[in-house]
Amino acid sequence: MIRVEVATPETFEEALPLFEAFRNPPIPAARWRRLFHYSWPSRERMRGFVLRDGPRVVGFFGTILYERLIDGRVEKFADLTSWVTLPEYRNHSLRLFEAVAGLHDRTLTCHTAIQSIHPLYRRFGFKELESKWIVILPKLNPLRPDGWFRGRIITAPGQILKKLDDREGACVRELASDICHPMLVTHRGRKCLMLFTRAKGRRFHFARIHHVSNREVFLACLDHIRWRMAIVGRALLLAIDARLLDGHIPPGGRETPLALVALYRSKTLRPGQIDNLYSELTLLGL
Amino acid sequence: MNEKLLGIFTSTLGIPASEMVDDLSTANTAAWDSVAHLNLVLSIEQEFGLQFSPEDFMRMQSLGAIRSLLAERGVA
Repeated sequence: MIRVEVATPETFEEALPLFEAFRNPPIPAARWRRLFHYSWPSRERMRGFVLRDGPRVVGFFGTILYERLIDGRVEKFADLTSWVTLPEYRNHSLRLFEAVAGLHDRTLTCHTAIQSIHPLYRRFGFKELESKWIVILPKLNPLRPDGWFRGRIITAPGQILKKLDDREGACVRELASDICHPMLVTHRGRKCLMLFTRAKGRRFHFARIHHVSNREVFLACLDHIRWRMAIVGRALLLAIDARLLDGHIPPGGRETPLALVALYRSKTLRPGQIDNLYSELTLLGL
Repeated sequence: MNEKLLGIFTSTLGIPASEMVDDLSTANTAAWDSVAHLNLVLSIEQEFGLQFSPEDFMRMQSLGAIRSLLAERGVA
């Protein structure tokens, strides 16, 4: 009897062999664990859905559940992740999608759906969240940015937390890890918090920025940020989803298509209000 | 309707028309995975000039259910 059940944190050990069968290159078990054992407080136990044949887990579709305060409202989210089914059970995989698509009480995001399956998502009300990112190229002289910098850039999570109040620092406390790094810029009495992951591109390492708390400070200090990213973050290029800069392309930036178009479904939010923080991008380091 | 529908099934799922019965479904057909289902529904929509809702899309998981739905939509 093949059935769909809600996945809980306790499902992790049963689902792990599935993940190990699919990801190439493999993702360490400790990262998969983050999809089941959140690093932030959550009252919700659901972690997605599993397909079971008897006691055996043969399929999984993950949901990363979180809440954010946006425009004074608590918004509920589910980032969709890791839709995997063993080959001999693929004819049942639609049941997992049906379960996930039935989550109507929250904003859904999906960053890694392959293009060929987009018509399925769109049929269920998903729209484009992001199709481009801005790649910011290195400066000709990467050793020292021009001009005197009347600000400060901090990358140590402990020091950053001292500069932020509880609410501002929540995402640093909850997400800073071996793959997701914070950076705080203070400039003329204003602050900009960023969180980024590092990835290997075709030729260079780049930092992908998933959250920018203050766009004006970010753009004003961009030369110094990219210099610091190169030195501390060991990332020559910066990449940031175009919507996070509200369509603004800074000097040295170039708009580039994303390899995988991100999708979302929401009754209340616009793409510009949705960042990538609590997603498979920061938890798995994709 | 029947001939066109069976032609779509044959080209999408690779199943000969002689093996098609109303019981044919996602549950008993290995080749009928989520991608094949999407292609199947898109092909049916194109062939018959219809647009199915998400609920219809999920309901269309057997040949019998698809025949019923097409009949409901007035496809003879």
